Amino acid sequence: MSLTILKRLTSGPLSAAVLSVLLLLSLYIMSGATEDSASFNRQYVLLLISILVGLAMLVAMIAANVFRLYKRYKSGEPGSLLTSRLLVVFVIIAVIPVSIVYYFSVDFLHRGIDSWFDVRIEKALDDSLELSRSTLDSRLRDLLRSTEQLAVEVADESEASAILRLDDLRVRSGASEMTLFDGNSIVASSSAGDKIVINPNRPDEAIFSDISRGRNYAGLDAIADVGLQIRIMVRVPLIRAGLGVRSLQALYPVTARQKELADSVQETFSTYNELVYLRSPLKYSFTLILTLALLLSILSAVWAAFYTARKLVSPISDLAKGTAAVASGDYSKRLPLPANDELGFLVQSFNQMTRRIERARNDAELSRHQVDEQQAYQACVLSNLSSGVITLDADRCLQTFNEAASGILSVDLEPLYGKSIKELATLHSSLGRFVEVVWEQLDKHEQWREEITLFGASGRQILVCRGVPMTGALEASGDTLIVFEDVTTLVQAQRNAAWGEVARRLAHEIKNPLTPIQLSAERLRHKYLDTMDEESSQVLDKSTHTIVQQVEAMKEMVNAFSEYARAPQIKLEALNLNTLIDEVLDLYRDEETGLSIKLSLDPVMPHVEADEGRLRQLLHNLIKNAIEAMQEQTSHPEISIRTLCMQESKCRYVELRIDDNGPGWSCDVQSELFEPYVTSKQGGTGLGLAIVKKIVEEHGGMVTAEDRPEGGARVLIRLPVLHSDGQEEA
Amino acid sequence: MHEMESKHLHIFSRQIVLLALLLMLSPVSTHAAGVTIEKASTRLQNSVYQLNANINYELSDEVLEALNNGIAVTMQVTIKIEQPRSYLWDQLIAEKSQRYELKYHALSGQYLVKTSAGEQRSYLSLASALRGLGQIRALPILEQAQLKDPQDAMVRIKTELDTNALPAPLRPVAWLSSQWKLSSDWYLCPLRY
Repeated sequence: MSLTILKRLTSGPLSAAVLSVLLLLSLYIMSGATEDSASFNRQYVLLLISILVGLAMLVAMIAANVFRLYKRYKSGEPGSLLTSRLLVVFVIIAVIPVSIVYYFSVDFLHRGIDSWFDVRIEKALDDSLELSRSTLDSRLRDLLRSTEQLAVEVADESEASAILRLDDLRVRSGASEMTLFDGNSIVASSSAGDKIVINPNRPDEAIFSDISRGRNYAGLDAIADVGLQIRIMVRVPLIRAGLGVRSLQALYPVTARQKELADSVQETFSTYNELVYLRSPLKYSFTLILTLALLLSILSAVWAAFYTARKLVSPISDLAKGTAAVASGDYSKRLPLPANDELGFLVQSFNQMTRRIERARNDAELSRHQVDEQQAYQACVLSNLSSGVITLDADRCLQTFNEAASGILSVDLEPLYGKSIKELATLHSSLGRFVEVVWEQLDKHEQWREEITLFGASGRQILVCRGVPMTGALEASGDTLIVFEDVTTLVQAQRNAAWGEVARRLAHEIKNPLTPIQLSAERLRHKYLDTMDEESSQVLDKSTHTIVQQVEAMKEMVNAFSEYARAPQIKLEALNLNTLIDEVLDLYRDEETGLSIKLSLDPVMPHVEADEGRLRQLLHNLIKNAIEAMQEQTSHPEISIRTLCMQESKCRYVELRIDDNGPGWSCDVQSELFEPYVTSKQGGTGLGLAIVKKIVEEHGGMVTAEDRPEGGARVLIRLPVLHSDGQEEA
Repeated sequence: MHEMESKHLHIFSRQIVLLALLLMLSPVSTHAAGVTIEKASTRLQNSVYQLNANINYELSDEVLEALNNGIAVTMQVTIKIEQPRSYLWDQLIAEKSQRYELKYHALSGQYLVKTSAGEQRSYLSLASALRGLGQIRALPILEQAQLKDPQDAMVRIKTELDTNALPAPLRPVAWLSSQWKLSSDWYLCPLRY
């Protein structure tokens, strides 16, 4: 509290101004005191002390300011350097002229005081004093002689009678006072004209001792109230013993004119002498006052310099601080307005600028916040979509994607961000088809929809893919939005349901009348075969046989359909495909068809997760199919079965290849080989391969059929490897 | 030479420490010059206490020079009559100051001593003037009626050169120079009757 007051006192302009004015006033009074000695006795000291105290206070205030400035400079506060520079300039501007004025003032003062005095005047005064003395000297000698004669006359007078004689002598000689001192220098009697002298003038004791030594005295005496007088003192001749050494003193007045002149000479001489003597103290006093005035001016100037520098620099340092704050991103800083001048205008502009910047920044922040929010919202929506969404820019580089996209494609899309989707194909070959289709469609620059079948780590995948070029504000960018969905299960379920329905209806509609037909045919045969003649019975036998056979065939077909439609619960378990193939093939090795079987099994065969019974059926179907196909045309039927564990990108699968040297697939059925009712064989139900496909799909695998280049058909089945199998083997 | 230099230095340094000197109340002068009260006594005459005192004045060179150049030098004798009290500071009963102006009269070559009462005496030499100045005879200081209990009353006497009576230009010099600080110690004597 007290510190802040002190600080305010030392830095406030008012206190310094008041102090300076007071000091100036006291200086003025002091210079007056030097002139008029009578009135200012005590005050002079007080003034001097108060001036010195005031100056000391100024010095302390300046020292405090200097210290503060130094501290600010040390701490690198903005504006401190400018303040010190301004300060130095101000101080130099103030101190140099004041010092010059001081120097010349002191010089002029000394010369001025010296010029009051003149050696000739001094000499003249000395001479006039001497002249006065010598003028009086002759009279002194005369008076001494006459007084000595008078002393002789008093010599025989006793102390009692002396008074009358003294009166007589005084009147005669013209003395103003005549006194007779006895041997003990005590007044014996005195005469002073009309006045009754109670206390006659007593000479200096030294005169008495001179008298006793026989030396008479004659001299001028300055006597109180009377002024200058001539004092003659002579020894009274000793006539009678017992009276001791008596002395007679006579005081003679000087003439009025003489007195006046002598007084004047004495006064002037004394005054002049005093002045001469006081010359150096006078110079000293004036110099002292001048020095104090100088100190006062300089210190006030220095203080004013501090004040002005600070006043000038404070808005600038404020600006510097404000600019630094703005530079560091703090736009909320407002500066105090210093005054209504250019600096004030600058500060005002600065404040306006920061206000606008702040508003703009706030707006930008708000909109950015809104955009962020919207993006977060969209991201949330996107990430929670079950469909995969990706966008591609005009260069077909990946722009955005959602979690579902990564999930459906079984690929982490993050590292591909901003890269062409071609990279996706090179990094993940299983997605080659996807990329190929998308790439083709993108060339069309219009909305498209495509179903893509992929084979990846999780097996066969059917994607429904839709591409839309961006519209609205984003049209110019040439971006494309691609949405795709994994419809594998959906498609399969649909197909299963459809075929199940077909099979069920077939079984229901056809199977029911078959038994009565068969029974009726057999009954016809049984009842009429024996009764008929041989020719007719042969016809009947043949016809009924044909009917029964065909009905049997139809039953078989219907059973096959119902088996297809049955779709029992699949029981997945880890099994070795090689072992299974071996077991199944054992059944065909003994046949006398002359079938040769070539086996090429991968020795390192991981387990697959599959239903053993279903796989067995699958193998039987395929082998049977091959054998049937070859029986018709080949004399040396040959089946080669190969298993291979393959790895494509991260996807590990088992490939089963079954080749035959039959006629191969006919071109017109190849595209729908695996659909039910499609067959290249006569008498085939067209369900064998459909069931194969169904089983493969149930296992998440993929089946393809193609013609071998060297002739014959080839079926390729890919089955996913058990996920944990790698570890099991290791 | 060396002595002179050191003396100048001494004076110079004293002038520098301006404030300190001004605030010094009783500077101890090492100069040979000085004022001492050798003897003082009082007696009761016609119901008035009178003071007799012998004061020895020895003027310093600067004072002598000023005196011979016509500057009047005033000595002030301060007399205080006090009643000692055991429980408090001494009670001041009366205070009197007597001023003696010593001046050189050039025309007659005499030294004049003028008292504050207006009495003036002339002396042929400075020595006799100082002697005369130092002899205070029968100076009435107190009427007997003013004193209730004269038993323990004490008289304090001090004499000093009054620098304030000097011409103004000389005053700053006088304040700063030890040569002008002529002051005796307080002399204590019982008030007798």
